[in-house]
Amino acid sequence: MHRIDCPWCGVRDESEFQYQGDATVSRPKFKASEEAFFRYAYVRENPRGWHTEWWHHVGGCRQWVKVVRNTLTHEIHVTGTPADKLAHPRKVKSP
Amino acid sequence: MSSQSNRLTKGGHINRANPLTFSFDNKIYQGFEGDTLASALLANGVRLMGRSFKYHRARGVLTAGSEEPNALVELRQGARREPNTRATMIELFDGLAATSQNRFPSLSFDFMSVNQLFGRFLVAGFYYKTFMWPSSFWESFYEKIIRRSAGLGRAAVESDPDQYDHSHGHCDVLVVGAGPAGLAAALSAGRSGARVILVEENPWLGGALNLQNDRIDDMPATQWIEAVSKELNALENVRVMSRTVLFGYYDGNVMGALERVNDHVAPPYSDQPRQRLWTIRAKEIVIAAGAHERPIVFDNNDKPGVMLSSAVRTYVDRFGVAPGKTVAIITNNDDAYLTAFQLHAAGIEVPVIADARVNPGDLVEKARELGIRVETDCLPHEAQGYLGVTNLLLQRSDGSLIEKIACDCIAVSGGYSPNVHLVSQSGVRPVWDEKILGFIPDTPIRAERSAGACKGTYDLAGCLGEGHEAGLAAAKAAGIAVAKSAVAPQAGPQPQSSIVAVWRSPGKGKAFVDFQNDVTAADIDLAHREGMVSIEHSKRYTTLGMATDQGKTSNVNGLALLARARGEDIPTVGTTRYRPPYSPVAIGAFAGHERGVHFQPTRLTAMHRAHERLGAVFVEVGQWLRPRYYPINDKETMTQAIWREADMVRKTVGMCDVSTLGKIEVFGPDAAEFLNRLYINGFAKLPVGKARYGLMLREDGHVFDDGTTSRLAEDHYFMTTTTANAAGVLSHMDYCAQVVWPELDVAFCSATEQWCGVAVAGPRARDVLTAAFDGAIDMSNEVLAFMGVKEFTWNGATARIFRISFSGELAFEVNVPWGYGEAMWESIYAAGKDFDLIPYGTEALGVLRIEKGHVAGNELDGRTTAQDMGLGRMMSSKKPYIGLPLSQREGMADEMRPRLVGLKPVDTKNRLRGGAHLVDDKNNATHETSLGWVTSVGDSPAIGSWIGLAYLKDGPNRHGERIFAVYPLKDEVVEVEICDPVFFDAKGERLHG
Amino acid sequence: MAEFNIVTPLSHLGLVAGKGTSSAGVLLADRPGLAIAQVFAKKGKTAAVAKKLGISAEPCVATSHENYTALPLSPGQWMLFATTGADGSFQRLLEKQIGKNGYVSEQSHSRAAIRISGAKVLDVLSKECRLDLHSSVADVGFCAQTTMSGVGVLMHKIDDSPTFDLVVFAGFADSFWHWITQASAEYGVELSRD
Repeated sequence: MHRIDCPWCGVRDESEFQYQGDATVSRPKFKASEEAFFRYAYVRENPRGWHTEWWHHVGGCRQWVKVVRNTLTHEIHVTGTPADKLAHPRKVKSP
Repeated sequence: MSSQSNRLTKGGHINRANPLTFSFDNKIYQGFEGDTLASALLANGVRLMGRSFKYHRARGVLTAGSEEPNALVELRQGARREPNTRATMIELFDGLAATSQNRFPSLSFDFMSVNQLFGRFLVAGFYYKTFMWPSSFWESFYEKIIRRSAGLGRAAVESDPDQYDHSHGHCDVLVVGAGPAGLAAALSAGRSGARVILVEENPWLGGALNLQNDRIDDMPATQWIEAVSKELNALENVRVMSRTVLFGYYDGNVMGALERVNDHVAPPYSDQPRQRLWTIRAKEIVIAAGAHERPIVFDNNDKPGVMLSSAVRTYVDRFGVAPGKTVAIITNNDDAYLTAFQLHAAGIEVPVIADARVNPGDLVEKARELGIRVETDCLPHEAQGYLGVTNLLLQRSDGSLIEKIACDCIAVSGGYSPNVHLVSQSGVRPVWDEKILGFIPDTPIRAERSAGACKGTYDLAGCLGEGHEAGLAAAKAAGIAVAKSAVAPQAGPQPQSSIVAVWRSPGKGKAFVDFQNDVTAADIDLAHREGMVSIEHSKRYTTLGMATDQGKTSNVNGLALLARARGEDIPTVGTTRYRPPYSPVAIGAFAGHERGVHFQPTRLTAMHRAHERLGAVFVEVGQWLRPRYYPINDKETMTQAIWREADMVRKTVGMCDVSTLGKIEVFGPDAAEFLNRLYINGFAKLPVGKARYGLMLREDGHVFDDGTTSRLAEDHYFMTTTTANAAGVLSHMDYCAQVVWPELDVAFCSATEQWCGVAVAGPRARDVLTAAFDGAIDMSNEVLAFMGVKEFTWNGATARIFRISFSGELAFEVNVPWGYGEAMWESIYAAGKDFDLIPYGTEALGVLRIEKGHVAGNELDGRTTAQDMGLGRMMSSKKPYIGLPLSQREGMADEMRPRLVGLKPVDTKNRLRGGAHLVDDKNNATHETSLGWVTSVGDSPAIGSWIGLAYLKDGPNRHGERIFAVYPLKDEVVEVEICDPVFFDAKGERLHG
Repeated sequence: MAEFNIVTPLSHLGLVAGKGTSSAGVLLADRPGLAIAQVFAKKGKTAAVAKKLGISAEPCVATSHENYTALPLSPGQWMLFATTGADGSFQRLLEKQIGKNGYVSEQSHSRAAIRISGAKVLDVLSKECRLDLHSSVADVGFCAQTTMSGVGVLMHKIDDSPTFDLVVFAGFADSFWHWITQASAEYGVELSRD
């Protein structure tokens, strides 16, 4: 089970969160092309290793939490608020 | 009552003052408090405890612990019957009833044991090869015989009457196992002040400590255990959990453990659970899980009476039981000598120690001094006997026979396998240690460390030292200041045991590797010959190491044999990865209290008691309970009640609890802009005191939700959502406000339960409400026009009245704070007496909205667009909103998409069905010819027949045409006429009444 | 109107005031009729609102005053509790105090508050609460939003005995009460009303 460090509540069990997908895509401006919206709605990477994701702390403070997680080892490197720019660790740990 | 013929006259940690009566296969026996079922049966001379999985061979107990593969029994009776429980782990209680399993008609005469005669056919992969075709034979034939002949115990068929519970734990240091290493670790970590949880699967502490002979800190082991236990229990920061097995190592150092709270007492347990499932979050973990002794693979090594050497010792030492009167010993290491000495001390005859080693070392002399015969370079050839061992045949390593030894028990030691299950679960690959012939943990990748026998350290002083160090290191890693002066518990030195590999003692008979799955040495060779060269393939093909014991006694022997077959060394072959659970966990324990009506919480409205008093029949809507309909007496059917309720609303007036709608208060200078971006229609210009129906899309352009939203002040809106989507809409708004447009100054929260609501609909609605509220609010068309909102005070409470209508009638929704809800319901109901008011439920609500062509959940199925619903004109062209860009794509705006229509049966006697498909040609109804589907249906009093809403290709252009609604599930075909989805009062005159 | 009763989410249970002398391991008390309001700060006004109300804006730290207790919910949001003012007067008082710095949502009727105390409090809570409530982690005044038995709970540690207040949505009150009374049964439980 993941233990996720919510920037507001502290470390909490995964079960309090809803996984909300890829946090590396952001919604285009309204003026953007249909293609941009298509990519935003449908196109996702499926990375092996580090990934930045949204976890909504719906069973807690209701904040959207940015999480850098390794899809291979389930390790969580860092968490932050939507405004935070989070970097991946430089070296990918092998499982 | 049988006497305890094999009970030693003294010794053992049992309470001889408290005899307990129990039954096995309906025969009554006696044991003592402190016994396990296995030890009590052995005390009564019962060796035969089960039949094997595949060949139905007679089996006795092999071990004295949780690794037991053979002695699986059905425990308790009736609804409490639990199959495959290990007799070695069942603590005896008075009245315990157990039965053997996998035998017919009785344990000593098992009809299916003829399988042994056909044994050469029942080899590895037998099922894969034999029951391949014809496939139609599977359900009717193959499955039945396989289930009858293979398989273990029977599950209870009634629902489990016992309670199970969950609990959550947190600690700095979790210590797994309370043997010498675990106790030392718990002591050093606990003394440092770390929050420690120590889990031990047995009811006692001490693990493999030899209670009679070991000495620690100059005390006998028993005394030391008592002292440590006392100290740990006195430490406020330490929790000792015995009868608790740690079964799973999960991500984030979250551990699963099962506490057997009441398995050792007779049911029922009043308010206590039978078992408790623990989720423990540990900063650091010390694994001190010990090691499992493994058998030696020789012919007929599964006869009842063949036991592991350590188990024999445990039965003598802990339970005061002689596992046999004459116990022969076979070994490849020193450990079995300790057993021989113990047996000798207890006055049990040891005719021989057969040692595979050529030069075993000093212990040989000690044995001979005691008068015990020792044969070196000596291996077992075969165990003999019918339902139990009577003889042991010995041989030299070259295969030459030596002699036959009469015995009724054989104590076997093939060496120890460190218990690497948990480290393996944590992701560490165990590595082979040639010195001990076992796998030991590799470098940890999580916050864990191993100590003692599970790391391959077998001497007592070593275990204590490692445990002590591991406890300190774990506490330190958890951020606790550790005293440097801490000293480990001391024990005298022990000679290092040598070991020689005996993976298969020469022979041509059935030599078992995995007792529980009936896997023989020959099966592994066969699997290899058939191409299963990987250990993972071999495991699955032969079933080695699967099932409830998870190969605790068999894995190392199995993969050593595979390595031999491959002609490679063991490290090259490697080991399989262990996965949770380490021991079986009842499904009931995982479910905990979340079963039956408590599977999920129930949500009730403020008026729930009033509905109950009116005899409402409830329906689950998400977690809510809502009145479905209100039968007027026992004879009124649901269909009649729904028809009556819908009819009365149109004729007089009805009231309905609408509290379950999601309600969200939205505040802020940017609230108007925020809602404008969420809804497809405009909300920025909505005047204060007005409500508006709004529709939201998902980003992909499909309809997400709808509801009525009112403006209470310039910067304050009151939004409603559908009951089903309330949570989803709030999460969507969180995303938009926090992630997409953080620059907007907007705040919102749920107000679903602050307010409860009643809809009053029908020609007399205004009269009823005027009476109910004593004229507290003017509801005239002039003051409160359609879509108007007013606030008023009623009995000191703020009330809000909305002039909105879902039924198409003159209708109002009144919201009051929760606490006033029941009183409001009663007031309206009482006032309604003079106007023939009826309460109506969700079903009549559905009929009324279908009559008006209003979409609801069935139409908002996540695949439909605003245009599909006939609501395309709501889509604002003056502002952008979520879903707009993708709603413009070609496929989304296609006129030929299935769009909303109404349907009426041509023959008004016919009923319609939701889910029916629409086709032009009733004789050609296929997936390809389907033109659409029926979403909602109802028996309409206003129309005088069934009516339905449907999505139909090009529907709006086909009004008046006739097609067919086909419903293959009931073999129904109904001719229907396509019409406008608004069946009733198309001009909408009634709601302005 | 002849008889008019304001109901509370658990009033149908007919609980009476506790004797305070129980030897039960767990004491559960319904706390009906609290005034509850959710307060929001406008953008950039979190400190201003906190100052006006004299409350902490730090996560997980409650502020208790003579007249009200404030539990921070998320950045710029609090839930405030008072023993009187459920008729909306508490909300209006808070609106007046914070002025144009934020908003107040009246929530007095939306929640049920249950006070749990007794020697076995932590044993009961740990059955469903996934948070570490050990006194070294959760001091007096600790507050958190979490999920217990499938229900969202706003919890607040009142004192070191320990005593906790558990606040749940009114609709779930019945279900939650049923769970927590059942979970407490093995330790002996006294049920009462404040």
